[in-house]
Amino acid sequence: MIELLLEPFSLGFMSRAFIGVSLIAILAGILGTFMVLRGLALMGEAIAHASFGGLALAMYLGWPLQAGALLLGLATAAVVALLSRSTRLKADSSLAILLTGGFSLGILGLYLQGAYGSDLNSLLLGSVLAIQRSDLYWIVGAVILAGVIVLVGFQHLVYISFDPGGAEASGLPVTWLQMLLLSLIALCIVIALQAIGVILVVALLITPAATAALITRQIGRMIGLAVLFGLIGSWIGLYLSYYISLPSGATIVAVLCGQFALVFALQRFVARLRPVS
Amino acid sequence: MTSTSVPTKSKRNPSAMPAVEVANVAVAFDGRTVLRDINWTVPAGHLAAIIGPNGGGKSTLLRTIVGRVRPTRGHVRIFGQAVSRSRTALAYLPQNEEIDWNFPIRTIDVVLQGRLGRGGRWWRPADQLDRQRALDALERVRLRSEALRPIGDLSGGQRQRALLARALLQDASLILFDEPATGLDATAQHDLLDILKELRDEGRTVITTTHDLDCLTDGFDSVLCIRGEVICQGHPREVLTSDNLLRIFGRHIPLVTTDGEVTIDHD
Repeated sequence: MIELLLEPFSLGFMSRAFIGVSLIAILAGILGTFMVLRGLALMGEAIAHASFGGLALAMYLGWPLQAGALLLGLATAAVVALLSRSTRLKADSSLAILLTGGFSLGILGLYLQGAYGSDLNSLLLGSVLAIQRSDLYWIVGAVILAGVIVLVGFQHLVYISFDPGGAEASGLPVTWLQMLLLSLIALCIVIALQAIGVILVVALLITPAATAALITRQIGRMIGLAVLFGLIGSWIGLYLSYYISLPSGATIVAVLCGQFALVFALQRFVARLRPVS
Repeated sequence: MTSTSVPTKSKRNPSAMPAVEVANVAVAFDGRTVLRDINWTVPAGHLAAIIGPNGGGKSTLLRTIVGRVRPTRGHVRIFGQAVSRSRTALAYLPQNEEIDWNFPIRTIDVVLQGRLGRGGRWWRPADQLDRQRALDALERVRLRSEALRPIGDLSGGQRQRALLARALLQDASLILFDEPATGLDATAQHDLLDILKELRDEGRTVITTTHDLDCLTDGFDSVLCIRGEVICQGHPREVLTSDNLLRIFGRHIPLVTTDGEVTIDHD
């Protein structure tokens, strides 16, 4: 049994995959909790798809891919905020426009560069096993940066999520803090893109946090559980994809979904056993 | 230029300044005027109410006072200063539905948010002293036993009191409370009013909006009646005449007087 668990680590790319995915799961659990509580799941989806456009743009301009992705991801968040403030559009419409717009920009960009085939596939679906040492540096840097910021500003982020009006009146820079949170989400999505791909990346943020939300009503514990669920789900997913040679990104997301269903069922079951108080 | 304007004594002593001064304020959204020509002064230490019909601009005025809405004309002063310079002195409790009551947070942690509004060393995590202060604040609003419960489990009146405990932890000298009575039964309303009066009695200024006229004459020091513009203002006993109420609400609201006290009886 132990050998089975350790075997993948004899391969450099598997070790890197485990380290990379674990770090991403930690950050995704923290930020995903805020996304679930603030209803930012669709925003995350839009950022991810727009950053696909950014990847194509960066490829065309010869920039580092992450820079292009981050730029367009952030621009999307800013434009959504602008549109909801200056028009009567509800946020989901603006999000749908930008989500599909950014995605089509990515497809067109890749097509025009003749990179439509295999590159498209790996960008859309990710390839955990192709994480390079240099990618790990990006991931470590981003996790430390975002982790420290959330740790220091935790109470503020909670305050503006719970009661934005009261927070603003008492002098908290609500708009800036909201932009900061969105920037960190964009950063997390960009570093996770490589591993899990444009289409599935939001699952890593939302599903573990939503699973945690089923069983706790205290944000600190919710973050802890979201990280735990993210870690467990992505490890199981990686082992499965290693031993039965399944696509790793999709396997991880499927396991995370299964985990959600299991916790939901257990929670219902326990709630039924508990005497009515 | 030599110093021609020596700061007066009252400027140095905030308590001598009016808590809120609203001067010639007009507010418009998308070119539609919501408030015009609002002039209102609330002395420090008053318990004051803004009353008026739905859509009459009560909440907009409160939001203008706390700086969430920018007036198109006129200005607001808090203890003689611009709102942006008096943030730590004021606590604003928005309407019930603006707050995410399902947020997974314990009551004591809501109260501890008051630390962030107070300025100072906000990046420091809450320590034992902060927690003790939060429990004391909860004690003041009769909620100490609920400290560890999720805020979402509290009743409507308890939630409002928890927000007041947060304002107490912030040590706000001006508390603005938007529609505190909405959705509360008579007992909860009176409990809340008792606490508001206590806060007033220790020198804080409390301003609420309401379209509920019960309790108004019992303990409030001043009312402002608005319906897009000021209809009347002053002590509730002088202001809440049936003529004025007809002008404010557009319908007749009978008044019942019992041994010198005016209470309002809406059928």
